[in-house]
Amino acid sequence: MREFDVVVVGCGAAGLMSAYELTKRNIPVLIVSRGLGATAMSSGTIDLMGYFPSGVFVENPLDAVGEVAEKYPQHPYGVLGGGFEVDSDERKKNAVLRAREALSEFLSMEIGVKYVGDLNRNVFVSNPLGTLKPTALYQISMRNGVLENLSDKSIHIIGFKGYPDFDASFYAKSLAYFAKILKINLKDVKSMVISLPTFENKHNILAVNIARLLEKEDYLDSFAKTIVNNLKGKHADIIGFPAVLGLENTENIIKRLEEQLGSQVFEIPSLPPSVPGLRLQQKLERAVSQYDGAKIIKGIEVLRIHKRNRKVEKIEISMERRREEIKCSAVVLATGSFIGGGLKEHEGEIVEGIFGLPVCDQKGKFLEGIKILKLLREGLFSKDGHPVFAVGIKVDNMFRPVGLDGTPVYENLFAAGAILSGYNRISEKSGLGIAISTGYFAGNVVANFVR
Amino acid sequence: MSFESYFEKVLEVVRAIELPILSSDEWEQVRLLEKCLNCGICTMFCPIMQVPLVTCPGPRSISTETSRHFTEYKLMFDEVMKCTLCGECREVCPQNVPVTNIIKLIRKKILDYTPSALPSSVIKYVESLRKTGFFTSPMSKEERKEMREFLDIPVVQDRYKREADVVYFPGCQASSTLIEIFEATKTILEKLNVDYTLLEDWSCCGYPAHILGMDELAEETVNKLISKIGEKKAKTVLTTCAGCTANLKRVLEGYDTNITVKHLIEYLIEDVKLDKLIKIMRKPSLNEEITVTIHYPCELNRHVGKYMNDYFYDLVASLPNVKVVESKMREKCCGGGGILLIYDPKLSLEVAKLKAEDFKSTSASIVLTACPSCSVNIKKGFVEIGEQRIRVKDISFLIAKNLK
Repeated sequence: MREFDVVVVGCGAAGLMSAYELTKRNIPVLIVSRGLGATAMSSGTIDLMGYFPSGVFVENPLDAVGEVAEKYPQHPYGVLGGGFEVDSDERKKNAVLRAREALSEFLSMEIGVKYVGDLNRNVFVSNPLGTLKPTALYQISMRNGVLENLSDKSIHIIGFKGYPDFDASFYAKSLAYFAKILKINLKDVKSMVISLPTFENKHNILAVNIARLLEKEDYLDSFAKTIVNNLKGKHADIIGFPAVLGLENTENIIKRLEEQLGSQVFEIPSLPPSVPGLRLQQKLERAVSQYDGAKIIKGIEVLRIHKRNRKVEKIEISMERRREEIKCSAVVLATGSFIGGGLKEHEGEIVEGIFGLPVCDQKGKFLEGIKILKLLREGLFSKDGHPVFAVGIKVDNMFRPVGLDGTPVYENLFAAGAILSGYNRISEKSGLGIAISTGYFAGNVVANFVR
Repeated sequence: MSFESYFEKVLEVVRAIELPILSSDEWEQVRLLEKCLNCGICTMFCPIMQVPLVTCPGPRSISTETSRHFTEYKLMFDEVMKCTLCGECREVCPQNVPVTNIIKLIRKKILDYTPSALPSSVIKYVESLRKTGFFTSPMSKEERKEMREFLDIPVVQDRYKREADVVYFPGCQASSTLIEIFEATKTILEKLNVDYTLLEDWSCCGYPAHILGMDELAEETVNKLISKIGEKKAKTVLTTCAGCTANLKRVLEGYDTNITVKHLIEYLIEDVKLDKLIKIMRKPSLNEEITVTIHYPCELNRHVGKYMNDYFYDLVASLPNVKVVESKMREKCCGGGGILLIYDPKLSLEVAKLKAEDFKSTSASIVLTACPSCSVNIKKGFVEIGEQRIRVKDISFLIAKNLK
């Protein structure tokens, strides 16, 4: 039987962030996960808060964190600020402080893809359909494509023949339409589809394969040449590509492309399987494994937990032909929601898969005996977001999941990320921001706990 | 009409329109496909799909097509054969969809109806398995004796006993193409004074037939082997091939027996213990330090369990004067699994080339594996990219070479 101080279940942004906080302090951590989840599927942009729960657009995300914390103590940002235990002013102050700390910690990781942006200002980044989404941080490759940077410029959008996840002309039209609504003047938006060198008549080309090839200099040069030939002397101030510009050396690739094309270059976040999402996942995984004490194992199911006196003692995991018990003094539950697999449907109800913790809705009301169909019917096209996406587990101010009686179910079980209730990550656009800040805070709490 | 005769009638119709007849276990597997989110994360990690110009739709397409209508499988023979069954798709899948099991199932269903779907290159091997009981015919004792001359490790005589604690089962490849593994393991066991024996009369473990979906042939072959092992009254079956290990472990789970299957790595760590092993190894002088990198075979890593990776690393790292450097793609498949090596050698080689390039980027002079199939394929990859500095060795060979 192996022993680790902490077992983190789940390797998305929340799980890895909490593991990073622990392993940084030389606390041995084992990260087990069933597979990759919503972080690897994401667009790779880190949104702190896009819209208030009331639906109003957020100008200053960090201030919004404080406002939300002040108003809603059960919201993860509210819990970050101290939850019901502290008064609203202090909650506001704490939440802003801790969210800023968490995000600066993330920005200071010198491994992997570089993030830029301003925590105090939301900008619009375009989706692959040309719609716009507010975000605070974005990958450096997306910088030139931020809506305000596009104003008064001529833009050329490039699609690839045989690459099915991006339609350049649709994107161009849609971008022009939405920019007009937001009163940003685009000089000219054009699109074209080119044949990728060496791929020629292939179909179903993967973004990640183009990205791997672009890492090679000679391929990058022939790629640039193809584009120059296709532009036929027409000049564009900015050229936009779907997110395929390399996995590791994106910055260099963009620099080289800009030199050869004579225009600025930007990436448009793509649909899953998403290259920016993979970059983010790899950044976090590498940040964690640069320290010796951490171990990440994927493809593992947590079968059972062994508990004693309201404490989780051991976790039983299953590998293909062997079961293993892992002794631990604390567990972080960061299994995510429906995509990550932390929440699932069982006999018509939403349940938490591993510990059987009770789940509640956005307002903190437990869903004992309430069928998922009822939730689905209630708010199918609701303006405040779909109620199903706000379901999660309830935690106390130390991020320990609580039972129906409101007290922690286990003394040494902590939760972070999308599995938390009290917010609607889809309508708020706050998914990765909450994952990173709650993961960071939970990691700190656990570090103090195991010491 | 009685229920039985009615049921027969229904079956007749089902057969006539060639609907797949699935057992309840098989249905359970197929139903798991419904969990697929169509997110495509598997396609980013699939070792086949990283070959840029491959015409292969990958795990996502197989999963989505068959989950909508399972009969689609009939048109997918080439797709399901272009898979190494490494299992990385399942490992990264958010929903743990067992795509590799489905691929095996589809292979089975197609080959049940049309065995001629296999190309002659594969049929040759299947026929050999059916007739002789071996996937690749082992060398005779005389041939091996001649080969021993060329190995620069101490060699010992074959040992056959009526009963022993341990049965060493080298498997097809280690007794034909990669004889060094066979000889090296015998030397190690002899040096450790293990009470072991070889099998006078043995057959293939049936793994190649199993991954082709020929379950009956696989079962027949493995049963023969297990009864032979049973005669020796052994507690442990020692293997040096990752495929044999995974397959025998899987098969024996269904048997009521106390025989355990262990790969040499597992045996050395769990039964022999590392400090005892170090004692029988000679202390090389300081300037003899070698830098190695490890290739973790999928069949140990994903089909047996992740603990095998730790064992492998610990074993190598504890060897005197060995420095381990890890490569980026250390856990990626080498392209040699799942019969791909003989079904589509060209594609298999493309995957091996990527592996070879990755190993080349490390400072290692030796790539260590624990699977004959991986050794062969990675070697081919190195030849293809024209790299002569790095050698590919099995872990048993490295240990045997450094014995006192």
